[in-house]
Amino acid sequence: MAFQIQATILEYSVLALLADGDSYGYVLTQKMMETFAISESTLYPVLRRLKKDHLLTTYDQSFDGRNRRYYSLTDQGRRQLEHYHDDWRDFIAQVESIVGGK
Amino acid sequence: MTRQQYLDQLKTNLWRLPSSERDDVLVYYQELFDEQAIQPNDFVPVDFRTPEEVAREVLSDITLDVPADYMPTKPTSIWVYVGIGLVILIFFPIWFIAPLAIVLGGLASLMALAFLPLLILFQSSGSLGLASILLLIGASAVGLALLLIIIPLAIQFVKRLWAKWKARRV
Repeated sequence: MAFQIQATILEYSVLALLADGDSYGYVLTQKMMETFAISESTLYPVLRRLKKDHLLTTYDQSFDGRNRRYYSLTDQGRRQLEHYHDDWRDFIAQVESIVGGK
Repeated sequence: MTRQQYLDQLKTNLWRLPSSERDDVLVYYQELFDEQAIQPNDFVPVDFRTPEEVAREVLSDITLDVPADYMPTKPTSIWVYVGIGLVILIFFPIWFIAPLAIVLGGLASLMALAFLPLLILFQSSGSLGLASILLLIGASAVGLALLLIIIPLAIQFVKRLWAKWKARRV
């Protein structure tokens, strides 16, 4: 794809995925990598940043004798997601206003 | 590269991070391996970035938040100790200690003057003439008299200093 996947778009996407319910590292990473041409090394910093900004929290749950770290959206994360929805619509509208209908 | 080697190298490459940050990264990767049933001696899938690349990406993001002066292995600089020493020197009450030393020194000298004649008297073999004995007794008396005058003055002086010191601290 010619367009750069920017960090904010990745954060927006992770928040959107978590809006459907808590998820753990592997599943989140797989979903993101299926859609975007990114590696797991790109995703970890995204998760870390969201947590640091209190947009998500983590909790550990053992599964089959190993650990799964779940990521969960905070209220702040939900609000941020709403902001991103608005910003994204504005952004698309701006681009569309130039390229749309051509 | 095996999982074990991969995680070891990742850990090495992340040495400059605080250990909690480093552990978070390692936990994330361990989980990815666990979910794919990759054992410690199994090879890491080729689509994984190298530990160096991962570390670079993580570090470039994290170093933005870590305080600029954070250095996990840097020992405390000698200048820190010099600084602490200087601060102690500057704020230590020399103005309080110095007069006290002068007073105590003076007292000690006077005591020596008072008791020196006795010392000489006891150490001599008894062949001292009357004049010498009288002279020694005289010197002794002068020393004792001075002590009697000076000691109350000194006590008063120290008390005043102490009061001043306490007032300053409050």
